[in-house]
Order: sequence, then structure tokens, then C-alpha cells
Amino acid sequence: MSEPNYFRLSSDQEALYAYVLGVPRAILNMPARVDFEEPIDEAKAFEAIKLTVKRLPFCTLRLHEYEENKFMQYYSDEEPEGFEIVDMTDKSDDEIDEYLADLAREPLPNNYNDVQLYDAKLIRRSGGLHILYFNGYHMLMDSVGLISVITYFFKVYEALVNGTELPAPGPGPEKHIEKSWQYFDSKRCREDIDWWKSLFDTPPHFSSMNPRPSPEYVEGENYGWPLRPDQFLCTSMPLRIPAETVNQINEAALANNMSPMIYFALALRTWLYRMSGSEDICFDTTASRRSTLYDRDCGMTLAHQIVWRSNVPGGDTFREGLRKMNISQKEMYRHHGVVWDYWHNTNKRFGYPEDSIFSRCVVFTYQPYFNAEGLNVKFHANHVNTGYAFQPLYLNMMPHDASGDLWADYLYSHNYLDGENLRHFHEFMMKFILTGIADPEKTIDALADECM
Amino acid sequence: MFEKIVDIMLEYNDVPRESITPETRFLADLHMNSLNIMDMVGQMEEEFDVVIPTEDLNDIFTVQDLVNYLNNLV
Repeated sequence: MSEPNYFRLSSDQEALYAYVLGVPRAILNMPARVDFEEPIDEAKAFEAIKLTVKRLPFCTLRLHEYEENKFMQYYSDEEPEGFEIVDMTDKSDDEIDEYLADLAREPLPNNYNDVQLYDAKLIRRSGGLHILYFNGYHMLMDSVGLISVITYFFKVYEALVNGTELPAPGPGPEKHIEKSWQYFDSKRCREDIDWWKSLFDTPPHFSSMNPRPSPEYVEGENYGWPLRPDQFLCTSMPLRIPAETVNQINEAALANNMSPMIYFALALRTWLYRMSGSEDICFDTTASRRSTLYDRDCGMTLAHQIVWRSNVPGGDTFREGLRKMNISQKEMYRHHGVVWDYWHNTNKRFGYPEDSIFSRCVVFTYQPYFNAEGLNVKFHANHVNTGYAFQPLYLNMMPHDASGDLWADYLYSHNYLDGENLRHFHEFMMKFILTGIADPEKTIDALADECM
Repeated sequence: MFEKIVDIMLEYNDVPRESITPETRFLADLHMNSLNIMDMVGQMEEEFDVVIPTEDLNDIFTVQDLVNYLNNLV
């Protein structure tokens, strides 16, 4: 057998690997389930998932550890392994949930070295229905990459059912990998570094979803330090936002020429301001970094987690708060490329450990697109909780199906945050937004008082 | 100017060229997100050698708005 053609990781992959050294490996699993709500052709669905991972170039990548904790990658043409049709027709929903949770917690074999970086099962359940379970390793795909696998699977399945041509597989990620390294030698990179330096010319304030005087505010004890091992354990709490409400927010946002994300972000930062007592607020957000069609189609891990720092006085109106958040988001997005490296330097500059969470306890992701166009089967998709999270709270907003509903998925450290408090936050967020839309001249403070 | 802008837009939007008209709206019709818009703005700044302040983007709803804005700058 000839030696594979090894090539380097992208800068995003290297940064991600460095970021998770020393934490449970299953934390990088990205498991999803698609519950089909109508019968499907089992044989064709099983064939479709195998064809999907063989045809999408990024899915065929494997990692090779050439020195301790140093990896190259290569394309593999080996057949997918471990795919199964699992008969659970006599099992309850709870038993199926438990089976999937166990799968999700299982790290991929051989320390991810020289093995396929995904797993798939087709679950046969009672009533003639099926669940597709797919787990991709985060070094290979981010959540958008994972969605692209699932949507490609839908297209392949429909092509097999209809006897039509299979969809084109999309490009390989080599161009992205090359670009990701060229960036660091560019003028743009230097300008981005300067911009982030000026944004963080003063140390940010710590904020938490919990109100003061929660223990994480205690200087030198919890404040500014990495999570303890038991705080990586997490619980998932998805809360539905009905389509009618989503449409109301979308219409208001479009009229203001801004993303609906800004409304949710203003509500989140207002909660953090009220909990921490500081108007200078930071939380993380995920930038998918898939602007061009090539980026969209090449899969892989391209997303960056970047820090959204904003200062909106409580005396500002809702309208003015939206405007400030809209500008701060766009400014941050102009400079999204550099942050992985830069953030570590920021931690050092203010005397915090490199892996410290110090100023942020929320990662907010708004991903309202799930393109299931052409799929003629009703489904409901969701992530499967691995039981682990890097940071106290991931708030992921995305659709789970084609109904128009949006879901706020709260994935939270249950040894750090309280589920009931997060439910209270969710109610606050929705009330704050809808009351603000109804009367945009109300101040942030007045809205916060009314909606808390 | 319009044609040059459409050339760049087609790198970011999976739509037929003929579907982009002066009235096409970036958010409502093309469903572009803020990150895509900012990357596209960055590319246009390089292409036309201009600087587009972020505040000015609030008033750019349509392709024609962008054409008018860039015509004033270049």
C-alpha cells in the first residue's frame, strides 16, 4: 500500500486541537439525530448515508499523529466502518434516547489517529419510523459542516428514491487550508490584531448568567479561572420559539436593515448587565466564516469563536441599543480572522491563564438556516448531548425542522448554572424583545425592570 | 459598477445572475447574514479601493443603494 499524501491542518484545526488539550475527548464529538416523522425507504437511506460520507471530500479526511500532539491529514478511500441499522422497534423513546446518549459520549477509537472521523447509525423504531444518528468529529466539521452533511444526505436520499442523478459532492478543503495560513502573513491580519488590541485596551469585566454574589464572581477563587473538571459536565435544555414570534422579530429586524440576531444579542447582554452590574459586557459568539459559496460547500471546521464586547448604557433606548449592537457586531465581523491567537495573548496581557474563561460565560450562536429543500419527508433534527461542554453556557439558536419555529438550545454546565434561572432568562429574553419591538423608545433599563 | 458588484455578489450568493436586480435586497431577498455581508464589503473595499464605514451600511438595503453609494465614493 502506498504512503498517503499527507498535508497540514488548517490554522482553525490546529487552534481547536490546542484549545482542547487536556479536556475529555468526547467534548469534540458533534452528534446529531434526525427523527423522520414519516416512513422512509430504509435500504435507500442506509445507502445514502454511506454515499454521503464517501462523496463529500472533507468527510474522507483522516488525521495522522506524526509526533505527540502534532497532526497531518490525508484523504482515505477506505470504506466507512461501523454503520449499522439498529433494530429498536421494541424499545421505548427513553431507551432510544439513552442509547444515543451513550453513543454520543463515546470518543472515536484509536485516539482519533488514522481512523474515520464520524459514526452513523440508522435506528429502526416502532411505528415503521426511523432515526438517523450521525456523529462527526469537530476537527473535521463544525456545526455548519455537520448540517451540510445532513442536507447532502437528504439530497442523495431523494436522488436514490427518485432514480435521478446524485448531487455534486462539493470541493475539497485544500484552498481553505492554504488561505487560513496565508492570512497570518497578510496586511489584513496586522490590521485585525490592531483592532482587537484597541477593543481590549482595558480589561473586560466579568459577567455571568447568575446574579451576584454567585461564587464565580469571587476574585482569585473562581473568577477568571478555567472550569473545574466537574464543570465540564453539562445538561441540554431546548426551548421552542414559535414561528409566529420568529416572524414578528424577523419583520422588525428587516425593517431596521439588521439581522434578527441583534435583537437576541441585545436581550442577552442586557441580562448579563443586570446580573453583573456592569454595562461593559462580553460574551462569545460563533462566526461561521462561510461567506463564499466555496466556503459553504467545502465542509470542515471553519468557525471561530470570537468575543463580542459591547457597551450599551441602560439609559439608551431599545432602538439605540439595537443600533449600537448592530455596529459592534459588524465591526467585530470585519476582524474575525485573527482571534484564536489573539485571544490567548489577551489573556496573558491581563495576567490570566491562557485557557481562562475570565470575562465570558456564554457562547451565543445564531444559525437560523437549515436548508432541507427538496426533501419530501417530514423530520425533526436535534443535537445529541455528549454530556460535556467547554464553557458554562452554549446558547445555540437554530431551527430543528421546516416548521418555521426556532429553538433556543441551552447546553449548560449544571455544576455552574441553574436550569431554572436559564428558563427565567429565556422568558426575559422573549418578553424584552417583543416589548422593545412594540415600543422601541423605551429605555433598556425600563425594559429590563418590566421584563425581569 | 452594477455588473462589477454583481460579479462579487455571485461569489457569496447561490442565485442565478439574472435574479439580481437593482431592487434586490441583501437581507430580505438574498438572506445574507452579517458576516457574509462584512466579508463581501471587505472585498468591495479592496476592489474599488475605498473605505466603507460600518455606520453607512445601515442605509444600504438594496443593490442600487450600494451602486449609488460606491458611485459617490469612487
